[in-house]
Amino acid sequence: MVKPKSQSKKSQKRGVDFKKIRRKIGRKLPPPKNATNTEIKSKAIVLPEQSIASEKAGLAVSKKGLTLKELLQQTSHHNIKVRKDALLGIRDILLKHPAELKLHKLAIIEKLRERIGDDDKLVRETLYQLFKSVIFPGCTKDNQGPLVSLMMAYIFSAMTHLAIDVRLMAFKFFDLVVQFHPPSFSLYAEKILQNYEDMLRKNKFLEDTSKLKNTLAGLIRCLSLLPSNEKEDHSAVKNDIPTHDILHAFEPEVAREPIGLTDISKKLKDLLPILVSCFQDFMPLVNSTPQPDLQSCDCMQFILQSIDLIVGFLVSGICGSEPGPQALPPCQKRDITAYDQFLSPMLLKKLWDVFPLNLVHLSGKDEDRIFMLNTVTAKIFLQLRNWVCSSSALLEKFLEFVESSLSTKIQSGKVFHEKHLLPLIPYIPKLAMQISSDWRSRILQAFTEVFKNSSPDSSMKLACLSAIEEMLAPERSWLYLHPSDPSLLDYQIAWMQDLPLLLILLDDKNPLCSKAVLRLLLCVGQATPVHSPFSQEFDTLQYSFGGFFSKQNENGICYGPFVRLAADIQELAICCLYYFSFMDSQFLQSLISCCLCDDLKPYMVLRILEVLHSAFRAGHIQFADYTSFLVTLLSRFHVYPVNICPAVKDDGKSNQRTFKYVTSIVCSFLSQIGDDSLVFQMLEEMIVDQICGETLMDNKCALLRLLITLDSRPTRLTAQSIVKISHVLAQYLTDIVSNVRQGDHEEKRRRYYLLPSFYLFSCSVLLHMYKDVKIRQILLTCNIEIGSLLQNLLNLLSSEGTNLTLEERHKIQTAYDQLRAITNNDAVGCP
Amino acid sequence: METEVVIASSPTDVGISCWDLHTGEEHLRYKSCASPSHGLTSVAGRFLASSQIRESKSSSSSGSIQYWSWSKPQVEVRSFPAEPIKPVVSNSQGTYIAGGGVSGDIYFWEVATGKLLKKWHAHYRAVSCLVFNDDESLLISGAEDGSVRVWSLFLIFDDARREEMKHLFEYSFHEHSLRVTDVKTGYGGSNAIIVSASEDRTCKVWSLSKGKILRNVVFPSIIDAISLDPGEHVFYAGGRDGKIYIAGLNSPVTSNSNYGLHIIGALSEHSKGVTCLASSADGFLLVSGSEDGMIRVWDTRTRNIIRVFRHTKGPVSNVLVIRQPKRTSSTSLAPAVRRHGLPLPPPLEKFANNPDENAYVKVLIGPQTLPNQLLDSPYISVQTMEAQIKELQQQGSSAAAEVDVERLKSEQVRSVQMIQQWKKMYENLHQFCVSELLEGSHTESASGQNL
Repeated sequence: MVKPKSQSKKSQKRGVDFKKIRRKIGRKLPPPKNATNTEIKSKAIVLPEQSIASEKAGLAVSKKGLTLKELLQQTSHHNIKVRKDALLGIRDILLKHPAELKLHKLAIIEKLRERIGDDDKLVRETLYQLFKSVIFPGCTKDNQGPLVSLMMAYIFSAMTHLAIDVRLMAFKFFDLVVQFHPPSFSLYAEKILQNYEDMLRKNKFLEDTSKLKNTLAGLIRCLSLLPSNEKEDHSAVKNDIPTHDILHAFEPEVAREPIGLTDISKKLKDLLPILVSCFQDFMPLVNSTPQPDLQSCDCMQFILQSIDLIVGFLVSGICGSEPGPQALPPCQKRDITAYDQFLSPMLLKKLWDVFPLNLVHLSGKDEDRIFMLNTVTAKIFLQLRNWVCSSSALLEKFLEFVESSLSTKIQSGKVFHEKHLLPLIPYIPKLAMQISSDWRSRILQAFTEVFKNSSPDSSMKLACLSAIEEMLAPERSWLYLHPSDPSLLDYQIAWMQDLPLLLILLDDKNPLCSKAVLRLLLCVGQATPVHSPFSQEFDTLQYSFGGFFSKQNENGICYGPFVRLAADIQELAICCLYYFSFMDSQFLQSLISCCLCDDLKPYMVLRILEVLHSAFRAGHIQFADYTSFLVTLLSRFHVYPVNICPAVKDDGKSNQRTFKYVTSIVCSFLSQIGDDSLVFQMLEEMIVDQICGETLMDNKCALLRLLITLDSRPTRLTAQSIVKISHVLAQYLTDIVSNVRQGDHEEKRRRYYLLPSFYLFSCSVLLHMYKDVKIRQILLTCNIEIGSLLQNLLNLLSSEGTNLTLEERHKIQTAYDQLRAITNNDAVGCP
Repeated sequence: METEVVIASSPTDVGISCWDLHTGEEHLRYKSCASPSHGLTSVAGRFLASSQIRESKSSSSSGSIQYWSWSKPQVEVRSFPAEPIKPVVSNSQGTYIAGGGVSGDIYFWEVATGKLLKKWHAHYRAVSCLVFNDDESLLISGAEDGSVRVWSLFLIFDDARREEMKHLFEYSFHEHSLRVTDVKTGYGGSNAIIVSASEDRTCKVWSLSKGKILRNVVFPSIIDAISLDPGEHVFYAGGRDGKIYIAGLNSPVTSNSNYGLHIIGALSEHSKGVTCLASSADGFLLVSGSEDGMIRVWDTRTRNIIRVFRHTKGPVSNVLVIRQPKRTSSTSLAPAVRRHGLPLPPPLEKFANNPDENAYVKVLIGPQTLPNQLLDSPYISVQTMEAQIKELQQQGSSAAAEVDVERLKSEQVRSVQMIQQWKKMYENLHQFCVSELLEGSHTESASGQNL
């Protein structure tokens, strides 16, 4: 708007200044022919405005060619337009030359702050924009304290200005300062609150509700900076895992602003009745007109929000020098009245009187708005500590509201309602604890409905979960001390039963919620006393919990969400397993098929094994179930490059190493169970059956290893099983020879496969094989393979890298000798 | 001269082995002991106590606590608590034994009388380990439900304050998700740190003063045992994979380690899992028991094994290093004591007594660790003592007044005598000074005359 004007002026001037005047004085000599044309032609010559006074070479200038100093001087010009232009010019300079701001920061602010209380609206607005978009963003890295303190004096004086507009603007400026440097609120809190108080006291001047709204928005921003939020503290403690480098070092000095919290709380207490009366002023408006306008509704909401914040701060007791609320459970606060004496019941009584705001025949949107106001009021009420002492009629009124709003939520299922009900949910546990049992069951009933009907990935569900956590995990709250009555137990069981289904419903879409559910489940598992009806209920959860891991349906296995979730959530789920006091085989079945899933990380398989082993040790799994779990895992584990071709040298795509590790873990677990010979006796048949079954080479190898781990010397294998094994052993050996090729690289692997069979050889399997005529024939048919096997055996013996003990070496040697003798016999016997 | 001995027990019934830590000489083997993890303790070095869990079919409550005196291999005292006890711990003076039951209760007995002083419900599931802090005012328990709780003994015996507090524990730490396997405390009374290990593969360091977690160390394997370096620079964590990991407490975070954050290194020689750890008083020797029944002694400075003891074939569940006075030079012992050893205290009682029964407190002088010291305390009966106390409490009683007057009188006489004495001395001094002065002037004048 401004620029084009000045340009047009300039162009006019230029026309006048450089007008060519033609004069005919006389004839001139014609120029010589060899003369050089010295004329310089240009389309236009632009000269910026000139200043005769100063030399500006090398100085930063604005578009109009003014230096910063001149512009600053102009800001106090008596002409409004000049002042505004000067501000715009400063903006130009600072944008073009950011270095200027760094150099003259303090000087600029020192001069500009005078304009905070400027009489003209436009100037103030320009100044505001200047601060907002240029100066503050440019100073974020500096020490902001001095800047703020420079400005504050003028802001305060503007706040007490006669003109109401100036005051409003001053609040806006302060708002800006707080946004820019939040600690500044706590420094000036007392004064600011005083100013807000004065301002709101005169709210009669504020006919314009939009202005009131702005002021209140600023107030809310300030109040939300009060250190009042208990939950934030709580989560901070949880997340604040060790950040110190050195444990025994001194703690770093925390730069803590000195906050006179007691002064603030006094001021806040003064502010409260003013806000309440302010709210009341809207009452006639609401009651008279059937359709309250949007502005006043917003105002009312802001007022309630600020009351809510103030009450929250005062009640949390941070103002006193008491330890933080999370250190002591609420009931432990000795002098409950000490905090609430700030809030005499009379103070908020007016507010309670108008509750609930009830308007007849409203359209949907207005109803929502009023509902919102009501929920905020209810929240304020619930925040108070001494509401139990308040009159029963009042209490009834609120309880009725809570119950009805919870149940209307179910009926309408509106997103809007849900959003505004959210803040009420955290108070449900407190309510359930302190009210009479009649009301308790009503409230809990409504709450349970909300929990069950809210959509799985909504924030409502999360809020419900944390409320349930508080009510279920006893020692974290006060329920622990009170004999929980049976009705509560029923609800607790109902909530708990919902959890596994919820997990399956959530799938992997909302990991946050899944995590919360699992944490809750873990927490419940930890806290259930052994042999109580509650723990039985917990055990029955496993039937639905199994679906979380995997499910068997008609066309194969359907993996549950577990496989797809992140590692930390999986870890939580695995930890839950430990707390089932009994695990049935069906559940183990679903676990094992989950373990066999290729997508599952090997680490998780190991963790499942570890936790199950602990559970077994604690007597939560029966012996037969546990051992069959382990053997099934070994026999059905899917090792994916079945034939190892020498081309794939790196183990990148194979999970053989994992399987080897799993095998060794299973072996060590089984050997830890107890007396080896007993375990062997019980497992022999099962393992031998599995070996003889349709299993792959790797699995056979693992099972043979398992057998040998448990076996002792001389072997305790029954003759029957030796015969059985010998049937497959030949095939196994040929498999090894044909699958595992020659080569240095393969040497190690081949040894891994061969080793168990050598052990078996040494223990009479061989002789049995020989005695069995049938086997002999089979052996004869694969004579060549045996030959190469023998060669391998020799290689193995001679290879220098072997780490076999002497004893083992000797055994292999004898086995080799025996084997050779037999093959020689065969060769001789059957020409 | 004290020697350090290593004692070890296992969950199968193979007794308690005992070796000299520095010479490797094997001492007596105490018979019939099958103790669970953390179920072996030495009561102030006077005798051994161990909890027993046997799978006997006859009775459901098959747990017991047994005492062995140092000199005899047989069990001397058997007590049968109300439920099987897993961990037991005794304070350094040997006045109390605390035991953790499988139902989550903690029992607190007085050793000398065997009285059950207190029993409280501590955890939801079985208590897995118990430990006193170094000033023995706090008892720290870990349980199968994954919680670690800190109990103040003052609070537990203070009925009035307990009512007020609503819960007994000082702190309850819930961050572990699985069974807590071991807890150890550092030095510094209630400002110490504690380290807990759990089956969730982590060890966590907590601050007792702030009641919050300080550090979380994730290991590559489940940790079953931890041992704290006396200087609290590092702690050792024995894993199920057979390695003993060294985790830094005071070092800055090292991210370049092979094992994970905070883990500086590992001692590895065990083929099977490490089940228990103990360290010598100077912290230079670390003793570890393993699943394979071997007990290895490590030098923590060189990180080498310096000695191996063989306990049994099965796993070792407990290893303790205790200081023991040399008993070989026991000529000064009274013959009766030498023959029978010191008499052991009575068995621990099953149930807490009615408080009314303790109207007359029995006065007991606990057996002393050094038997050659004579007991020369004067004997006064409890009744007389109580009477005297009562009298002293009543300021106005005639007897007390009489005693007072008597005392004042004697004091007065003494002070009068004192005054007399002082006067006399003053007189003498005065005399002496005057005579000296006179003499001096006399001689001076005499010398003047001489000149």
